[in-house]
Amino acid sequence: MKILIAAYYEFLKNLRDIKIGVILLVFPIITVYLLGNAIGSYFLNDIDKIPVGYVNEDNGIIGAEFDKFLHNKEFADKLEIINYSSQEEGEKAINAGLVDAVVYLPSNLSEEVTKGTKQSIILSGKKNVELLESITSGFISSYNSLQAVISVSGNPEFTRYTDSVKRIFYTKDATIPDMMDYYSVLTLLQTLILGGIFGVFIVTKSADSDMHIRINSLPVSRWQLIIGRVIGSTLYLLLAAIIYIFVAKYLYHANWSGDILIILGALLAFCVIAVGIGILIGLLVPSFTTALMILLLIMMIFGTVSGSVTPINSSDIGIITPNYHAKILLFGTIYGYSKQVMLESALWLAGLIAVIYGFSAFILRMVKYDNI
Amino acid sequence: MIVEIKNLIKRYGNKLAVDNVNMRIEKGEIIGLLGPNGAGKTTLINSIIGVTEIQSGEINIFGKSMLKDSLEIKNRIGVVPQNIALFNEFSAIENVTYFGRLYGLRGIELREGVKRALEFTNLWERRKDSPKKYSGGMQRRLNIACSIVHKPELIIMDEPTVGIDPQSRNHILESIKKLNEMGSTIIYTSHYMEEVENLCTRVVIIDNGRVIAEGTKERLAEYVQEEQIAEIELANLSYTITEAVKNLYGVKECTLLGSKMTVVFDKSNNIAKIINAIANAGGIITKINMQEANLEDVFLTLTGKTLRD
Repeated sequence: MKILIAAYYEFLKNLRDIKIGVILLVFPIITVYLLGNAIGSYFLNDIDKIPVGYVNEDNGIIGAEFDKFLHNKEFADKLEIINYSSQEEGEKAINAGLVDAVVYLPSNLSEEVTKGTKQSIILSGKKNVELLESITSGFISSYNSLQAVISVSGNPEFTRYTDSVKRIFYTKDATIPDMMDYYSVLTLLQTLILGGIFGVFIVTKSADSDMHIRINSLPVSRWQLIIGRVIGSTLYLLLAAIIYIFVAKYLYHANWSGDILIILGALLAFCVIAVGIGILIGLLVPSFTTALMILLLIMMIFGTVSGSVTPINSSDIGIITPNYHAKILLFGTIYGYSKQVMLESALWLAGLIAVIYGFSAFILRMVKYDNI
Repeated sequence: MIVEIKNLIKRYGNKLAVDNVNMRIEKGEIIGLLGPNGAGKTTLINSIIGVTEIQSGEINIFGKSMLKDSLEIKNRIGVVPQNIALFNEFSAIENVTYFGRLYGLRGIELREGVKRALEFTNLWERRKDSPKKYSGGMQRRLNIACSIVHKPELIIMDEPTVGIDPQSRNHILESIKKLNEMGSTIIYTSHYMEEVENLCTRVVIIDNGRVIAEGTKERLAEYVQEEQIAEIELANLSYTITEAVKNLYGVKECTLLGSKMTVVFDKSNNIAKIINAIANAGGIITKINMQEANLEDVFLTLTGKTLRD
């Protein structure tokens, strides 16, 4: 019961702190506007070529047209296309790290589409599949406008496909993520890391107040207070995220469709991690100012390596950041990633929560702090 | 006995902040912890209430060990910290309600406790204002209100009147007396001798983390050895009278100013002998004023420095 009391009043306290609310909402709303509209295309044009495997077994019209489309000058500076003779060879190339993704046109694609049977262009890969999806969908859109086979037989659509190779898939109803959609998610995650400041507040004492003495004199265990305050801070961050999503969705028309429970669950886990990062920093660093600076540094690093600056050049090291896995879950439910990939990222987030809070609890037990 | 402290030691690194303190506090007392800044009063208080970890010693409150039963004990004590400990994001009533709830109060008991605490500290009319709109004195009173909402049996107040105007200070001191009359035992720390002298039934003098003297004001005054001072006004002061007093055994000094004679004499002597000597010399006494040794004098005698050093 006292945990809930502490949680409620922590939530209320944060809600009434206008300064933090402005930072958590205004900063990402402005940033996503700039990145999504003004800067996105600049970065997209200024990156290294993506190695993409290409397997075209279709001898019909769709295969021929897609061939021309993919080797178009427009994509020449973005893609390094490597031809493979079979889907298996392409998958091996993915596993070997030779290519980021593979486009596969089955041999009966044109034939089946002409008959009116649904067929698939299959995309698979470990990264940069979003760009490939964007390109492929662009092809389909322009191809659909022809008064020919496609209008008679229906639209080719993507299909789900699961096996041991990690693949990122695409549902037929989802739209292509544009830069606004992309940065809308990444900027939110990057900003939520700043919520770690609440974690710092929980474990550091104020220089000009004896609140830590009053709190310690109460008949409440410090674990109850810490847990309660974590809950209150997390819920506040989640509320800020929800407000931000509303603004991004209805003002900027960013794509936030998908399973609402998965979106909320991913954001909730992320907020818990953000507060936990703040707690860990606050326990390890004696000065509030230094803790805040470290938090800002972490915000920039995590954001950059998980792709919040440019969507293409995200480093492999991003996989250990909560931003990366929250991104997978959010993109996954919005754009139809496989359950396996999403489950892995969910487990990563759960693992990060366990590590951060476990380590924090260990430090708290080993070291007696006079202020908590 | 409500509080018993045995051989309490607290260190900060190599510095001994509380040095083997022993103390007992009986129910119903207002006990003053008197000492200069840096004497260890706050550290002692924080050690007692478990805010800071001690190196060794026993602390028993209400017959229970603070190390083992701290949560149960904390239900029955209230602590007023030295600095303001309030949430500016909440109104006064929200502040008191929050702490009341953490003290375990619910429903009607909570509402009544909050109202009582705010009325007691004369803040009920301003209950919906945030502490940042309060004066310093009002913030101090709200600081107290948050600590007494649950009617604690033991209240520990760490210099609650620092930096406030005399009117607010007097109000706070009167409130403390009322709290004691209502049944609370009070531990009151201060470096203001006047407050402790006016308020406390018993005084513990602390310096450099050690208890250097303990007792009632009268008992402590005995530490100030040797001298007493009497100011005697006479209707007919004369050389004969003055010489009669000066020649008494134990009189160290006898000075005249107008019709007033100031006599400094040994404690071994007493005022009755001086009065007799004056009367025998034909003097007519109109007024006698005995200057009692105060706690500042006691502190100075025991430590060689003043409370404000």
